[in-house]
Amino acid sequence: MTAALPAEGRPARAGLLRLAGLALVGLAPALPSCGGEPPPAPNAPPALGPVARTRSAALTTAAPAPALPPTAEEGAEATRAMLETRVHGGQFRDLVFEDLAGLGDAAVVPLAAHALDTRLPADLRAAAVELLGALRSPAAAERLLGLAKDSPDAWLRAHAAWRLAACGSDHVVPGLVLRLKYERDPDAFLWVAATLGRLGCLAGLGGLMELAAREDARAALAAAELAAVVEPLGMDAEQALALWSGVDAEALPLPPPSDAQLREVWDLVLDLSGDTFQLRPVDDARYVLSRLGPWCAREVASALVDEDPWLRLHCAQVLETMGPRARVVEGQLLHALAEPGVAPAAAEALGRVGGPDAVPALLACAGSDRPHELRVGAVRALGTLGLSEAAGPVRTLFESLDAPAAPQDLRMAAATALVGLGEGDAAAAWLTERLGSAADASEAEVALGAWLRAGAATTRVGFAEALRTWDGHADPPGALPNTERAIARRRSRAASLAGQLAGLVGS
Amino acid sequence: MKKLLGILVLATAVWLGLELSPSSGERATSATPTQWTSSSQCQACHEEVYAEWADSWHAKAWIDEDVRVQSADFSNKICIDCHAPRPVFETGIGNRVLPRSSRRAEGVDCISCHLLPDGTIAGTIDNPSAPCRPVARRELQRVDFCAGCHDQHKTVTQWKLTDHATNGTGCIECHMPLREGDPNAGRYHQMAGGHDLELVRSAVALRATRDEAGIAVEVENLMRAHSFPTDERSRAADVFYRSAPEDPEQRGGWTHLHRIRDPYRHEVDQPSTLLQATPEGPDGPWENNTEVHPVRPLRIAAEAAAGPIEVALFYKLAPYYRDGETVLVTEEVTDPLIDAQLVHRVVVP
Repeated sequence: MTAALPAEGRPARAGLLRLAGLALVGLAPALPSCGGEPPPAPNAPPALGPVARTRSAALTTAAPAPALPPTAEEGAEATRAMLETRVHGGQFRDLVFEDLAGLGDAAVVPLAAHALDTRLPADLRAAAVELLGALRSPAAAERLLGLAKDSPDAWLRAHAAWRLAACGSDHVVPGLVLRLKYERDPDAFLWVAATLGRLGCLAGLGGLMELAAREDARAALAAAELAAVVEPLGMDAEQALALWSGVDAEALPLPPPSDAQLREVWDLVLDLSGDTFQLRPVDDARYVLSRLGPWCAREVASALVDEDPWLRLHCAQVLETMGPRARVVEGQLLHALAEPGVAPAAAEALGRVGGPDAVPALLACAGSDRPHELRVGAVRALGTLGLSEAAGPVRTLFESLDAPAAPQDLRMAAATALVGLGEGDAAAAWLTERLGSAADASEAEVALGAWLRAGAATTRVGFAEALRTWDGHADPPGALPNTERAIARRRSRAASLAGQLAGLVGS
Repeated sequence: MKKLLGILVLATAVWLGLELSPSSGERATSATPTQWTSSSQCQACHEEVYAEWADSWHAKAWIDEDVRVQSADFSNKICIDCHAPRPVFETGIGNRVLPRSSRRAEGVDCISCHLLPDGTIAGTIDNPSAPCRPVARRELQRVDFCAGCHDQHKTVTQWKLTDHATNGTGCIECHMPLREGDPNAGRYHQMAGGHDLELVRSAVALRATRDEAGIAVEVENLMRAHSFPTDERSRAADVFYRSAPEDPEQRGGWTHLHRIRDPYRHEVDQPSTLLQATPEGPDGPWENNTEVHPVRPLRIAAEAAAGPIEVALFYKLAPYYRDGETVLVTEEVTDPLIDAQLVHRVVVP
C-alpha cells in the first residue's frame, strides 16, 4: 500500500504518519512479539574522551615493551661460538643452552644479527633462530617477530614464525596477523598461520585449511599443523572456523589476551587516529584488529567514544570487517548511531555485525529526517543484514525515489539492499537500466549478479539460464578489464538481461 | 489478538514507509539550497568550472574502471578515503581526509574542497551577494591543501625538497593554471595530471645517442617538482626499443629496456625505480630506491643495436599490460601501445 502511494497523496502524509505513530506508541508493548518495534528516537550524542590514549598508557605501564641492548656487538663473539657448537658440536650440542641461559636477553640482539647475516651458512643462521626461540623471553619473541616480518629470506621468515610458537609470548600475535596480509611465500604463510593458532588466534585458520587441501608436498604438513591447532579446541577445523567467524566466537575455548598483547592492540588502535597521516599503517591496523578474537571487538568498541574522529570512524570499520564475531558489541554500535561523525560507519558496521535488534534502529536512521550520509549507510546495512522486516520499508523507499532529481545513490543503496533482502525483483529493471550509467554501473552489475545467483540457487524459472548468459559475458579468469572492456561487458549483459527480465521477475 | 497484531504490522509498515520516503526537500528545486550536499548544486552558477571538473579525473575518482579494478571495487577500504573524501576543511588542512558514505560516484567533488565546517563555502573572494556567499580562504591555494590525499605517496614531501618549494611554485601553478593566463579569470578545475599526456611530456625527457658500446639512453625528470611518475604505485613508465628500418612495414616488435615505478608493498623483490626530483628524501636516501638521480642512464648493448633503432618512453596509468583479455608479463610485451601512451620517441640512426 505504501509502495503505491502516489506523489499527489503526499500532503496527507503528515496526518497518516501521526495516525500510524499514535497507533504504534499506544500499543508498543504488544510489538516485540511480532518483530515490529517502533524505531527508537535518536539518542543524545555520547560523551567523548581520550579513551585510546588512557588505555594505551595504562597498559604500557602494566606491561612495558621489552627493552633490548642497543647494539649487536656485545655478545657477538660468544653467541657466534654458540652457533658453531650447536651446529658442529656433536655430543656437546646441547650444552649451548646452559651458556645461553647465562647470557639471557643479552644474547637477543647478537643472535638476531647472526640470523640476518647472509655471509653465514644457512645452518648457523637457522641455529641463531633456534636459540632465540629457546630463550623464551618477550625480548627474544620480539626479535623473532622482527625476523618473521622483515627478513628478505622466506625460509628465515618461516623458521622464525615456527620458533615463535614455543616462545609463549602472545604479544607477537598482532604482528603475525599483519604478516598474513603481506606474506606471499606459502611456507612462511603456513608457519605464521600455525603459530597464530597455537597462540590462540584463528586468523590464519582458513589459509591453513586451504594449504592442507592443496595437492602438493606442503599439504600433509599443513594438515598436521591444522590438527595441532584445533585438537585442543575439541572440534574439527570446519567447526572451529565456523565458530570463529560467527556470533558465538566467544564459545571457543581460547586463552584470553595478556596485558602485553592488549598493549600491542591499543598501539594499533592509536594508529587509527588522525595523528597517523599515512593511510597504509591505518589500513594495517584495521586489518589486524579486525582479525583478532571477539575480545578485541570489546576493546575496539570502547574506542567508539574516543575524542579523535578518525579513530572513531576507523574503529567502526574494524568492527564491520570483523562481522558477526563482533556481535558482542552490537549495543555499542547502536549507541554510536547518535554521534554524527561516526554514525554512517556505525550503521554500515551494524549491517555485518548486528542481528534483529539492529533493524529498527537502522530503519530509523534511514528516515528522511536524518542526514543523507547516514541514510545511505543505514539502507546499505539493511540489505547486508538481509532480515525480512526491512523489506517492505526499503521497497517503499526505492519506489519513492523514482524522480530523476531524487538522490540516485540512495536509490542505488535501496536497490542493492532489496537484492540482499530477497526482493530483488522490485529493483531488477531499474538496475538493468543503470548498467549503462556512468555513475553507478559497477554497483548495478554487482547487485544484478547477486540477484541472478540467488534466483538460480532456487527453483525459480529462468534464473539458471539467465545466470549462464550473464556469466558468459564475464571477463576471462585472471583478466583485468580496461574501461572499454568493462563498458562492453555491461552493455552485453544489459542487452541479454533486458530480453529475459519479463520472464524472470515474479517467476 | 491476531487482528490487533495485523493492524499493528500494517501501521508499522505505513509509518516506516512514510518515514523512509523522501521529503519534498529532496525534490529538485531551483531555489538556493540551504545545505550543500552535491556538486550538481554548483552547476547553475559555475557552469564553466563545473564542466571542467566534470571532465576531470577528480570527478572520475570513484567510477574510473582502473581504480575499481585495482581497489577490488573499493572493497579495499584504504582507497575510499581519497577517492570519495569528506571535505578537506572538516579534518583540517594538511591532515588526512575521512571517507564519505554517500554520493561516492561524485568522487573528489566541489564539496570536498570548498565546503567549510560551518556549512558555508570557501572561495577565493568574499562575495556575500552570491547565492553561496563564499568567503575567501587562502588555504585553497596552499600545497598542504592537496597533501591530505596527494602526500599519501609522498608527492608533497618530494616537492618540499625541490627548488619549486623554495621559489613558492606550488601544485596549482602546473595542475590548476590560470584560465587563459588571466589572474582575474580564475583557475582551470580540470586538475591536469598523469592523464594529461602533454603535461607528462613536459615533465620528462628522453635522449638516446649511439656510441661504441651500443646506444646510451637517458630519461630525465625534467620538471623536478616531484618524482616521475608520482603519487601512486599504479603508475609506471617503460622504456622500449625496436629496430627502425626506413620502411615502417619492416619494423619489428618492441623490446622492454627499463621500468620506472614504485612497487607495491608485497612486491618485496622489486626496488623503487622512480626518477626522484632530488637525490635524497627528508630523512636521507629514498627508501628502497637505489637509483635516485633525476637522470637515469640506460644502455642498449651493441649487439642489439645494429641499424637504426627507435627508443620510446611509454606512460602507464596501470602497472600491468592488458591485451583486452589477459595480463601480460611486461618484459614480454611487444606492443606497449595496447595499454600505454607514447610520451617520447627518439630514432637513433
